[in-house]
Amino acid sequence: MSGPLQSAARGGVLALFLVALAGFMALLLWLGAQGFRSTEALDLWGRALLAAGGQTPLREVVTAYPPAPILVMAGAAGLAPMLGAAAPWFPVALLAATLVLAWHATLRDAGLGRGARLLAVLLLALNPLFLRALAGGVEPMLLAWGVWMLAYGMFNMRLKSRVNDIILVAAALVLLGASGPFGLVIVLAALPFLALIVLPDLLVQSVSGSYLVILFPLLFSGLGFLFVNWIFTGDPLHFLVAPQGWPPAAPAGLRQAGLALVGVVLMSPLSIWAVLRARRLAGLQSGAVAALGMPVAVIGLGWATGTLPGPALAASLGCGLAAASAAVVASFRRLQPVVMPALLFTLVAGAAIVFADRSAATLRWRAAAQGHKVAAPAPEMAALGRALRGKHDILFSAADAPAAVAERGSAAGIVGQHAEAFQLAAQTHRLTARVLVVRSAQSVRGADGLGRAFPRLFTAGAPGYRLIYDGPDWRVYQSDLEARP
Amino acid sequence: MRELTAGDSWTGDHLIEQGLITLPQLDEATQLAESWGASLTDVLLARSWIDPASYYLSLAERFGTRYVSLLKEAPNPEFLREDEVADYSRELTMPWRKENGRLVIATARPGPEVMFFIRQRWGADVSLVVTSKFDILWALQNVFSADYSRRAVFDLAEHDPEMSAQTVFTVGQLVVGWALVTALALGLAFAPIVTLIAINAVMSVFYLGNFLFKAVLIWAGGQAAQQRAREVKAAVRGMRDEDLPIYTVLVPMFREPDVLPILVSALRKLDYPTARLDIKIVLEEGDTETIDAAVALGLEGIFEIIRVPPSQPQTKPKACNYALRFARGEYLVIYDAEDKPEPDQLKKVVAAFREAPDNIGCIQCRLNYYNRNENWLTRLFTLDYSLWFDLMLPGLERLGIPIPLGGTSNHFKMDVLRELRAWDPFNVTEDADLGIRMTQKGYGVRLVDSTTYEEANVSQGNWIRQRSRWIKGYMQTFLVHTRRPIHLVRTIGPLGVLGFVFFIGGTMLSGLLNPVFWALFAFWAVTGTTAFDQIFPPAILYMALFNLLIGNGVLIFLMMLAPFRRKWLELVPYSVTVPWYWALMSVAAWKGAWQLLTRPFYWEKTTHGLSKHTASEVAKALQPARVAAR
Repeated sequence: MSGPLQSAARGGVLALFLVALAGFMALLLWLGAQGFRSTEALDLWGRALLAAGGQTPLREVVTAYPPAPILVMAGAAGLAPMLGAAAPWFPVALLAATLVLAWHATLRDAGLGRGARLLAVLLLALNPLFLRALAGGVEPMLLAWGVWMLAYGMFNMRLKSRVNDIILVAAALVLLGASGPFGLVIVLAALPFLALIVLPDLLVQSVSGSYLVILFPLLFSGLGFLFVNWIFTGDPLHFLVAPQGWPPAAPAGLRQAGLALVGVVLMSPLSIWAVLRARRLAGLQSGAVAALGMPVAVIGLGWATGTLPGPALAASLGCGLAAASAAVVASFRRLQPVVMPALLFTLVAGAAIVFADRSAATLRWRAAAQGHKVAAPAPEMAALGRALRGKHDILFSAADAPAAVAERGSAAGIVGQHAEAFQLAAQTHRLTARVLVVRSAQSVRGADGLGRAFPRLFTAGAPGYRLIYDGPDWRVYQSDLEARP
Repeated sequence: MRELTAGDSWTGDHLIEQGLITLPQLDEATQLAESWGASLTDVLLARSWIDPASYYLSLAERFGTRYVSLLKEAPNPEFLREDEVADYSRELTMPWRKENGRLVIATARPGPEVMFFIRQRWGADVSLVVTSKFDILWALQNVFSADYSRRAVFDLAEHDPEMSAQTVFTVGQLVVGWALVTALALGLAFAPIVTLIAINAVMSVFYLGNFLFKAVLIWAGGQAAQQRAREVKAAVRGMRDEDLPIYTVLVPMFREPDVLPILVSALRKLDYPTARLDIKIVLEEGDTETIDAAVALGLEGIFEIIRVPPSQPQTKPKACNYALRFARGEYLVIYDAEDKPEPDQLKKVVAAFREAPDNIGCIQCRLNYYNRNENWLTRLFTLDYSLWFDLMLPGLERLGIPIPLGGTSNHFKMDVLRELRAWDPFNVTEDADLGIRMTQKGYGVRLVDSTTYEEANVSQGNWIRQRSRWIKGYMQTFLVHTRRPIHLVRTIGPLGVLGFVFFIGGTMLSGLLNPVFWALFAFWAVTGTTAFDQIFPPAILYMALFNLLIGNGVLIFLMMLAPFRRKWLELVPYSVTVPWYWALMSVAAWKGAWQLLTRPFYWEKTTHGLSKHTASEVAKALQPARVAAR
């Protein structure tokens, strides 16, 4: 490609990226304006604000599982002064836009013309399941990245035998494992299918070598994580204390799992087609069997372990599969005509799954997407956050209610349980902070840090403090001195 | 396959008439000459079926002239022109002396073709004497040796001193170095903690950049198009022997008589018409053991032995510079003594040069080892080489970063090589230096998918010697090319500089720094000391931790990927033992650094032939010759 053409191509890619980023940001901000936020995303953003604000020591951040979402969001929280209210959405939109760019690059490498690949990317990016995952926050986006990398690598390992495909598969396993419990389930479900994607002559040469090269990064990062836990906390299994999102509040039922299963199958028309019709292309067929079998196994294993998210979110894994299979199938010139109809089919199928999903989060998302105002996912956290806005010197075991920090919009002014002042207050039983936040011992999760240090604080308050917020689980007391004009 | 010339047919008949060879020998020699594309005489001499002295005497008799030994009766230098040496070598014909007012021409191949050449060059009023091929070649070397020897050493330094490693440290570099050391000393004296934190931060950023750069290289290398490999293969299939250019093959050797048969066998297997090969075995004049072995193997038939006069520095690049004066090919390649290039390599390179843009001055082939499974070291060395040649260099090529050439199997356009004044004899990794210099001068380097197999070092001591020379050479190369930083940026671009700094600088610096950080880590892990807490503030601590875990993990993973392209997956598990290999590398790095200060131009010799495979390779290599001799 000549210089001017190369520059034009780069300019086109940049434009695509900026349009995608702006589009995703606009959509997320609009959904936010309707009141939609996922519970998990809110929680994560709160923890990220605490980490970036220094209220959570870095050692707590780096030893927490899952590490990937919190590290990504903590980075965004660090940029919050620049990004303002868009900060929690920015990393999610960025991940989605770069994923779109990656899809575009693979479709270009496959030889699809400019118009066709833009249309293909549009069909993928506008798939309701992808947009549902986008609204789910950073974790579903990391999973979308991981599943796409895994599927694309799986397809190509048999077809092209490039080291890049091993890198993709190996890196995808690490990313998925670090993204959360459901990511770990995907990793486990993918393992048996690795046998299908390694070239037979490589397996004959060395089974251990073939598996070691794919699994080494996962094993090494796992051991590295244990090591980090050990050096910072003295216990390599420290992260098992409270893994976020494990187990989920309401495990999916059989019907939901069935819908998710139908969803991933419907999202894989090209893989199904390749399994049934590409008999002469053994590499493509093996990759397709693996790429189809893996998500089916994920749904089964996710359901069995109680980690399966709602049907639409679970089925959104199919977006990565659809994008990967489209690029692989398009690389066979004579098969290119089947790509567009298949992607159009996945768009319709995605919409159907979203409409069939009756889970609360998806119902809220659908309502917000249709322009209806929706209630906050955790009303008490929203109210608590509002109550704490504009306040400073707040003695608050914020790690027990990170969503309230997210609703407040900042961690500034919070004296968390790792702060010296908090520990001093707990040890001396003297309260000098201007604002006290405490959780009821009768709540589902029991007393919070402050409540454990001051068992009567929730019910009786403290001398010199008056109640300014009274929720079902949380109360906020403000110093009389602070209340005076 | 080429038919015998009229001159060859006549020679064959003449030798039979004289009873110097038998009919079966003539038949077999004719077949070999046709399949090798060589002259009949060369084949007969190569097979030792005729005694050179008897052959040339008989030739003189046939032409009614006399035979002279140019070694005993040296030519008159007045009649020899330096710019015609390549022609004398190619035609095996040169002016000898004047007798009775007539110029006398000495030739080793009297016949119509040479008579035509003589008339064109010196006119019709000349006399003729017969001499041997090696009389001519060695007489030329004797006449020009002093001048060539001097130029082999000083040509680059005289014409392009900024690019020569003759000066190890320039005044500017010494001043900068002194200023840095002074600043460091002042910092340690007045603000030790801040200074140590700053050093720590710089090192941590360097480590981070180093492994990220390598990861990017591997990714880019993995994506390198296979399209070119297919095009080159197709072009090779369509090649006709008569279209191929003369190819010079330089084989510098020093005290390596044992591996000579392997090399000879490999060169004979080259799928390239022998008549178009200009193979020069480059030996040091005092290396009688290798010279004797070469003579014993009857190499003078198709190989030419270049004896390099003794001078300092006694390095491979100096020997190659000297031999280059006698090279007559359009292209030139260097092979090491124990090399086994894939037979179609030269043709692939010719095809690649023809398809490449004009500014491509060099094509680098891949290197790897034939004794990879011999022991732990050979396995790790194979992984290292596979990573370097199969993944990293393609990455450099794809990203447009200067490629430091590997020790052998780099193929040059002769005119470009001469324009650049060839190799720097003061640099002990002259090949890496030349790759960077070429890019700075506007020439490019490409890679071709053809492998030369070598003998991997089997002994750790020998390996450290070899690697210390490489690292010392990288240090020399780094010092030479950073003398003019602005010029460097202008000629190779910011990305090129970044790549150069991490690829050349990173390789040597990580070797030097690793032991320091390993020692700190080991001390901390064993004692649990808090003494280092002050110099590891949180940001640096987490970066160091990231480098320790993710960085080392990535580097081990990259090592695992290395053998994938060749499907040598049995080597993958050995990758986890690479830390010990890194430790050896650090020993070599410190040795190289010490030598840079004390003996910068000393050529740390690698001993070849230690592998147990070598004996069997030698036996295999000698087999056809024995069969032929029978």
